Amino acid sequence: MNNIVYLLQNYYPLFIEGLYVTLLVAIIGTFGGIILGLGLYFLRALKVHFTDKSIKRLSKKFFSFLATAYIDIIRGTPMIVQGALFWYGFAAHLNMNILVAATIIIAFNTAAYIAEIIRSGVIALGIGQIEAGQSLGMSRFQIMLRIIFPQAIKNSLPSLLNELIVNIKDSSVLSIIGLTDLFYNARGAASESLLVNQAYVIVAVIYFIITFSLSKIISYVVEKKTNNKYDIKSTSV
Amino acid sequence: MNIIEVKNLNKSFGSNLVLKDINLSVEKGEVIALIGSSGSGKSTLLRCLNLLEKADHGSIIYHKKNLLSNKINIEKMRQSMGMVFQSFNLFENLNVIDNCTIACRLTKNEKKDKAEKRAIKYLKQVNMLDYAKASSTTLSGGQKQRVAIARALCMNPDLLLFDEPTSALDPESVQDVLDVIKDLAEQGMSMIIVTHEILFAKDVADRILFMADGVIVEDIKPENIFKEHSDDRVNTFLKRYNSF
Repeated sequence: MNNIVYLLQNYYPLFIEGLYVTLLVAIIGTFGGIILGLGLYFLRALKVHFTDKSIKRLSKKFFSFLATAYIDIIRGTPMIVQGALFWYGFAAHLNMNILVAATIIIAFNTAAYIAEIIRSGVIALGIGQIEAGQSLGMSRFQIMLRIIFPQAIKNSLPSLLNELIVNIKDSSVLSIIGLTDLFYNARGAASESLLVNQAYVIVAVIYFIITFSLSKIISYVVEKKTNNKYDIKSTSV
Repeated sequence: MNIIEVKNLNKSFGSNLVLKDINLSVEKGEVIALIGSSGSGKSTLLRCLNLLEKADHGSIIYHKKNLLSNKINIEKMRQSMGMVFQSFNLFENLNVIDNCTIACRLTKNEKKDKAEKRAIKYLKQVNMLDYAKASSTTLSGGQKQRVAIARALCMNPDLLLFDEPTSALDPESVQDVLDVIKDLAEQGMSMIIVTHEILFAKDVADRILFMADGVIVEDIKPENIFKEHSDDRVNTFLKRYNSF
């Protein structure tokens, strides 16, 4: 116990800085991921209509295939590998800021999951409102943007915010490319003080407090907003 | 003058042929009622007309263009052909008046004031003006359907398609919706109405078409609807209807 107090007293700036970085990349990355995810879903769900000209037909098929392949590949590989590939293969050569790189990695990773969350949100809404929009002459883009996405996002809010919690925890894997997040800084504190177990206990407690309280806040907000009791933990990964 | 003309229209789902050589023409201002048992192809025919379903072959001439050629602008075409669905399909994230104005504003770049002015006119016509600012999810079935009709009217359509507009409603609301459709008929709106309300069809329609097994088997004058028909399926259907 004394050792933990000693660590906190001497290394608290490291923990605070690390937490700041973790929250920064997770929050911006998740919101970026929501925007990218909506775009990915839109591309994935493109359908050829018989009135489409051949170029439109071909490009719809191509983009839909591309989006599907992207989602499958991202979901089928770990973020630590994606991070390493992006950083060592690309971003490091451009001297990209590590914070920017990490945010991009998180956004592009979480977008694939968010596209799937949005997809099930859209399926749950049913085809009726889409057909109503079509029958009024609205384009697919207009229907999605103004009618379907606002409802799908609202209905999927618990799952979308759960992605934020996942990203707060999983951004720790980006410490391998040198992101000075909470975990990276804790490792620094551990090796400098030689109080390895204690340092990681502190980190575990901080992660837990942040994600647990966030999940409680989210459940409260979602419950208030939708008048419907929802336990965010039931969707935690 | 024909507003829409359907020639030899065929449609199948897999190996199931649901529309067989349909021929149909509707004159401007004419009201057509489509009746028949469930599964006879009425709704599919309606959905083929505004291309929610693609017919396999045949032609649909609307505004002098064949809708089944790939040269038409589908969105532009649909702006002038309204559709009212059995399950209303109001936009649930929008209030009543926004449901009515969104399509005009997005597709015709209309100013908000202008679109709302027209929406108010049509909401008044369907007796829903008091609910203009209400959320569409808080309305009853009959109210939703009347808003859906106003929404379709806001596009100033040349032809209105009704797909069993009263089938999902309680008996009290049915009359409210039928009254609105009757008003439209009196104003000269061209309409094709899929319905199970035979008395309403007799009252409002200029012609009643009976469909069975994907074919229009009888083209009936409303005053003759309860007389003996040459096709037995019509007689059986109407006898069953009368026994209720």
